[in-house]
Amino acid sequence: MKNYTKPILAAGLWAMIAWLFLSGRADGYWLVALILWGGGATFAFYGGERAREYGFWVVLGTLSVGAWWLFFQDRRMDSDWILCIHLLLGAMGLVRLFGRAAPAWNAPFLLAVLLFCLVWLSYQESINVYFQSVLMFTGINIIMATSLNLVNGYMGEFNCGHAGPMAVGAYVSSLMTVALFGKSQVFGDPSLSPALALFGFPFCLLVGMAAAAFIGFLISIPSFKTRGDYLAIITIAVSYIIKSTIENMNVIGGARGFMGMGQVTQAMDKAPQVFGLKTSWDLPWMMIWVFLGTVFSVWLLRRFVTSTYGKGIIAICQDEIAAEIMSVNTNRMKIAAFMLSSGLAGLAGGLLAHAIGYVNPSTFNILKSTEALLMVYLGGMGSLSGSVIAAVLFTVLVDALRFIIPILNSALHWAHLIPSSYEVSQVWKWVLIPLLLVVIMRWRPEGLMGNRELTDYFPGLRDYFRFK
Amino acid sequence: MALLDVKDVTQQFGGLRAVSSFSVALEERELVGLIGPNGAGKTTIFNLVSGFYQPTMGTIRFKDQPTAGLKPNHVTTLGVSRTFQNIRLWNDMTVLDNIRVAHHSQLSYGFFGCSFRSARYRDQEKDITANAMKTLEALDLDQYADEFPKNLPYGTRRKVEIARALSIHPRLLMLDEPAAGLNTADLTGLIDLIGWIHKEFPITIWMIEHQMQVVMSLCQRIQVIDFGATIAEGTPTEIQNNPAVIKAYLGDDTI
Repeated sequence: MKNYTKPILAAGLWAMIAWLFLSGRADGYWLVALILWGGGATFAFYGGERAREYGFWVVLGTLSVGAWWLFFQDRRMDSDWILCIHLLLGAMGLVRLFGRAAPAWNAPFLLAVLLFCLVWLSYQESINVYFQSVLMFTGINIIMATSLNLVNGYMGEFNCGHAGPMAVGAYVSSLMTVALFGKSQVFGDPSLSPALALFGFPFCLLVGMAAAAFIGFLISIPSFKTRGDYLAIITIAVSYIIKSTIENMNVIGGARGFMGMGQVTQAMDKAPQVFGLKTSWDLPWMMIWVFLGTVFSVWLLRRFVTSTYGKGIIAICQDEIAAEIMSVNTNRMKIAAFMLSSGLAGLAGGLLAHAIGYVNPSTFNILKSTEALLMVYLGGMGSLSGSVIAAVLFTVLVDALRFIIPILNSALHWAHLIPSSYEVSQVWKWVLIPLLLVVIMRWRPEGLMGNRELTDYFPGLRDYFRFK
Repeated sequence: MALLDVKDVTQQFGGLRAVSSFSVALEERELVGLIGPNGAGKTTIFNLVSGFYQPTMGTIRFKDQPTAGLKPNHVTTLGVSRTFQNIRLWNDMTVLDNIRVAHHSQLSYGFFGCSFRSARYRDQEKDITANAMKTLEALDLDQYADEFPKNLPYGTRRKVEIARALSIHPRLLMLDEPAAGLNTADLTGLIDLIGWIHKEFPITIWMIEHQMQVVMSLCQRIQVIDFGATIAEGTPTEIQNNPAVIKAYLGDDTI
């Protein structure tokens, strides 16, 4: 693996520079910059120890400064993508050069730059609405997978009803935002000015999280004495109770679902009115919230499982009797794990409801819980970075199949492998994805990461993020 | 006042009386053995004292405080620590983490403390890490701090488990068959280790052991139980010549 990284990266860089040059996209400053960049990279890859350490990043750092300077000079960029790639790589270079001075700020800085790039690209419509929604679902799936990993991976219990607390979080936060900032048949006129939506939204999400965490608390009570398969059945039962309860509450739409969150997310643009300004902040707000929510979840979980307090749940997983006798209050730790896991599921639910602008109890059926399980087992139990990678892969795969299946369909028809009366439809997605799980369980049962973090495989990454 | 005072404790599992009217009083800094044939109820007694079971009858007092109704983690906080017959380390956690997690009940920072990395969090984590390293160094285990217990040889795992029990500065250390499965070389090492711990730390050691070599060379007094009841008590020499003990172990020669 390690031996091929450098040639592939260097070849990729030069191919990109060649393409940018040949297609006429890069000229003047950018051409010089790109060649410097590629040369620096190649030099750093094949140069000595010190060159590797500094050469590459000095070049990138200067480039980054140049990119920032041009950006603030309001000079026309050739492409927003080139700008963003520069910003990201430049930020990585800065972290590499100066990061040791304040390691705690490396990850926040890189994430801030990433967020800026995402917002900028969305704002410039360099990434279209469809791609934006895929990005948001990726974030939501990351929250879902990492939070489920706390119970299924780190604590070694089997929670099959992760969609239950998600539904609670989705409904509670949606009802609250619509009641406060939106106009609806249920609640009538907004009780607060819609201009406040931007500031009230995180608060509503927190309330949704608290409600979902309460469901987690309820699930954790039987978990004191019940474990394994029996607890799994209890979690499914709880998620069904929640789903049927919502389906039968006609006040909030019952099985038809509940809507009106779209106007709330649109009202976030009006935030400057609160300060008496006439402008509107026309930003992709939900993308920002999903990004912040994702970072918050991973941050919280990471801090939890790296503290000795949180390692109590890993001790429960590995030997519950030893944990109990060697001073871990197992009941309290189970409550903490289930509440944290469910609370973050509630956050994912709230974000999902607002990202689609519509919420329906059938969204939170057993299939949703299975998706979360799939991502956890794909990534590896007890590995946060594994869950993140699996969530990204899974979301991308689900959406890629949307395009792959029609191609597959025509290919199979062309080869006369299937009768011409039969069309391979999108339903096959739900055959192919579970099949992936079968393949993983057969050949890599521990998942992609298998109880280890990405930094264990690539220690060099510790220079960029080390959020403990 | 005895450090641990167990009075007339009976443990009933359905129709089975695993322990019947068992009494013992351990003084400060004693080294006492508990022996008996397989299934005599020795481990059940340890489980009762560590709070894993609640006795059907009788009282257990530690430092003159009744432990009835306390959860195991609470009993550990009072100063009772133990090892297990089949080693129960957390195998996918480093040796250092194993010992740190044993301090779990001393942590007071809670969920929000660890989320926000409060001052209290930092202080406590620093303290328990320092304490864990000190224990590992004292037992000459510091070179294994970053190893996983599953990769260590059996004898070292035993030692790590003893280190874990010792690291929380207990007043009473209960060793459940520390010599089980050890080879002769490890056995002499273990005898030296237990003797050293007893000399070095202000601690009472109570141990279950089948290896007579260990019991006879270490224990100041020995209690023998069979079918949950005490059948003999005394110094090692007395026990060796006690007819009731010989009968329990070797059987009656009358037919």
